[in-house]
Formats: sequence, structure tokens, C-alpha cells
Amino acid sequence: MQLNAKSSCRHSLHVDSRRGYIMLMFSLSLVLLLGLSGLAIDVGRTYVAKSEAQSFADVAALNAVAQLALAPGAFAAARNAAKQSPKKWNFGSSAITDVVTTFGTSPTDSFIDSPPSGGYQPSDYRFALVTVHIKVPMYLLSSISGPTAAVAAQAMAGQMVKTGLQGGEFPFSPFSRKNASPEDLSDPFGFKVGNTYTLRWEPSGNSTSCGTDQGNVGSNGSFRGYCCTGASNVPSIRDVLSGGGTVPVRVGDPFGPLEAPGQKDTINIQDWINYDTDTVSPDYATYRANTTHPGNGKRIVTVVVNDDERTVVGFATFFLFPASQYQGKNYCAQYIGSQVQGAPGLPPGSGSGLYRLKLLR
Amino acid sequence: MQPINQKRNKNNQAGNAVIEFAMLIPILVAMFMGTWSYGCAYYIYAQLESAVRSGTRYAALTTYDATSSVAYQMAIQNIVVYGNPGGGAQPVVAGLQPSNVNVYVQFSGSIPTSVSVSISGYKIPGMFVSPATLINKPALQSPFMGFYLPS
Repeated sequence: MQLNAKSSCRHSLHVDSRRGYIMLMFSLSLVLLLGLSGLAIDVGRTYVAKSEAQSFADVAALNAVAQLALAPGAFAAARNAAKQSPKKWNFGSSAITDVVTTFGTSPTDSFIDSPPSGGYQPSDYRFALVTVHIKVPMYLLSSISGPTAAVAAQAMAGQMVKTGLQGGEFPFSPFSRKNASPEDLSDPFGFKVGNTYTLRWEPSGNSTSCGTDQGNVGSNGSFRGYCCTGASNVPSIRDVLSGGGTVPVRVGDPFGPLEAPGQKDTINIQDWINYDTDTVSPDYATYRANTTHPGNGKRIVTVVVNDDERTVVGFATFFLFPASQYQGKNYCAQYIGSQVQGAPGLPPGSGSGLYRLKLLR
Repeated sequence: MQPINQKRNKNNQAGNAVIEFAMLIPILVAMFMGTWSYGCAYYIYAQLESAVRSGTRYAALTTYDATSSVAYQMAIQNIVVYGNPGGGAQPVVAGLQPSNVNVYVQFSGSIPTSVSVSISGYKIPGMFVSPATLINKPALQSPFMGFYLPS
């Protein structure tokens, strides 16, 4: 009997120990389950925050580099522009404040906070790297990761040199002065910012009345000026504006002018000028300073520069004078230096070269 | 031979586990579904954020033709939904329609100055609760940096 009583007691203990076993195991597993839930929720929120930060960084980098296009070397303004994006994180509810903008001269450069350095000029800095930091509060993983998780996003944007155009270039072309009476040796075409040059020339033998081109007829005056319109057609001005009226062209291509007599006059430069909201400012400085009726930039044109030997040597930016100055003969325009296509504003009226804005990473 | 009480006890014991498990099942299911729902919602939202970012980048850098602003808007909606300005068959986020994509262009005079892209009316599916409907989220605004073609 003693034995039986012992056996019964042990059995009773065994039964008691099994009672609530699942509850006990569940409690232990709950920690693991909560951890996994926390992983899904907190990591998910972090993933969203990262994506939101990336969106902010992309726009901020474009803003910064666009600001540099309008005012080369204005780094404080570029930093400020980078912070102006209204993009928020935390599902669009929290402002992003930790924004660091650094600058470089090329995509592979060491980006620095306070340029210039290493012998570069402020205007050489055409790339911006924006780094955004966000601290995402952790709810369920705080015991592991701490109260917040650091999220960072980076974007680089820059002004890329254009070596080709898909169309949209102004269908008249000046010739380079680099090897013939250069007026500014630092300019790739020997042009001087602010000076006037001839885009369309009178037939051979006639002289031009444009700026320092005055009296100069060049060796190929009969065709110089008509560029990139295809073999025999003359595009409408709007076709050219849309990029469909002129053919793609790259540096080094043979310069294919339109020579057919009689077609030249159908290219009506006045129509182009009338697309601008300021058709009267006499020069680029006045045009830029006009705040009463500001121009929309249509009088600023990109042209193909030729070497006077039927080869494309590059692209330049000119300002068209008022339509009232044209008498159907020479087309004169003012050289205004560099242009960054797509920059939301007027070019600075300095430097040289044609660029486009690009988000690089 | 086992005593009758002991036998009854053992039978009762077998039922305990089932009852305890049955009691805990709803909690487990709720936790699983909650985690799944939130995980999916976050994943979908991040995908939408990425799609809106692509659409905004395209909108900011492409040509705005004043004579075909509808085409401009459609191209952006297609970028967001299909990742291609020409459209497609498979949306990058299940259930997303071009009509869910808002494109808002701001002008100064007649010149576009900035463009905003956002999602509205898209329902993020929920397993427990009714689907969450997004209103103007996610959204992204960028200065317009493309080419403007007047009418």
C-alpha cells in the first residue's frame, strides 16, 4: 500500500506539472513572437523611413545643383535650397531637418563642406552630394536596437557636360573664334561673354553688321548659319522648340548646313522671340534684371558652333536681340556663356559650356 | 491494474492541452495577422514611395508641352503605376491604377515651376480591419527642371 500511495503521489505531481504546460510554453514563446512581430513592424517602419529619406535626398540634391547653375559658387544658397523640399517622413508627418550638403568638381571627387580647395575655383563645383539622417523611434525592438534606429539616405546630382544634342538646337550656327581672332582665350570658342556675334550670315560677299563680326564675311558666308535641319527641309520654329525640327548632332560631326536658296527666309526668328514673355529687353543684363515683365527664357538659345571647316566643335548659349532689330538679313545674338539645361531660372551670364542636370545616384 | 480515479485523471489531462491550445489560438492568430497586415502595409507603402519618387523625377526632368498637358500627366501616371511612360500591363504595386496618381503642376505665368506627384484613393489591403485608404500619401514635390514648350 505504501508503494501504491507513493506511486499515486508521484503521478499526481506529474499530472500537476503537465497542467498549464502549453500556457507556460506559450509565455516563453511570446517573447520570441513579440520579437518577430517587432522585427516586422519596426523594420517595416524603418524601411518606409529610408524610402522617404531617399525621396527627400533626390529632390534636395537636384535643388542644390540647380541653385549652383543659377549662381555658381553660391554654396550657402545651394545648402539652403537643398533643405527647401517639403517632403516629410514618418508617413508624411515629420519634417526632415538633418541634411548635410557637400560639393565636388566631379562625381568621383572628394566632396567637401567648404569649397573651394585644391586650386579649384568656386564655379568649378558642379556636383552636390546630399546626406539625410533620420532617427526612427523603435517600439518593439527598443531593448535590442536602442530607442531609435538611425536611417541615412544619400543622393548625388550634378551638371553633366553635353557632347551631343537630340534636337532642339537653334537652326543657325556661328563659327568658332578659337583659331581666328579669339576675344577670350579662356573660352572654348574664343567668344567673349557679352559680345555680339553673327548666327545667320548674308550670302557670300556681303558683310555682316553684328558686333565684332562687322565687315567679316568669312570663307563660307553663303551657308554658314544654317545647321542641323536635315537634308532639305526647313523646320517650323515650334518644331525646333520641341526638339523634333532639328537632327541629333554631336561634337565632331560634319557640319551639315541647309543651303537651298529661298528656304532660308521661311525660318522666322521673330516667331521664336515672340514666345518669350519679355520681347523688348535690349540685352541680357537688362533681360535678367527685368522683374516687371520677366522673361521665360525663350530668347536664350543653344546653338551649334562650327569650326568654319564644316565640323561641329561644341555648343554655346546666346541671347537673341529684340525682333525689331532684325531686317531679314543677319541675325545677331549676344554670347552669354554657360547654360545648364533644365535649371529653373536664367543662366548666370558667365562661364562657358552646355550642361544638363542629372541625378547620379 | 490502475485505479479508476487515476484513469479518469489521465483522460482529463489529455483534454487540458486541447483546451489551453484552443484558448491561445486566437491570440496567436491575431498576432500573426497583425504582424502580417502591418508588414504588408509598410512594404506596400515603401513601394508606393519609390514609385512616386520615380514619377516625380520623370516629371521634373521631362518636357512639358503646353498643347498636350494631358499627355504629360498620363506619362507621369504611367511611370508611377507601370514604371514606363508608355504604360504597361503589370502595375509595380498590385491594384494601383493611373487614376490613383495625382499630378499637380504649379505655374508662374504660363511656365511650370514645380510639380507634385501623390497617391490618392489607393486602398492598402488589411486582414483584420477595413483597408486603409491613402489620401495624398505618399507625396513628393520637385521644382520643374525640364523643357517647357509653349502652345
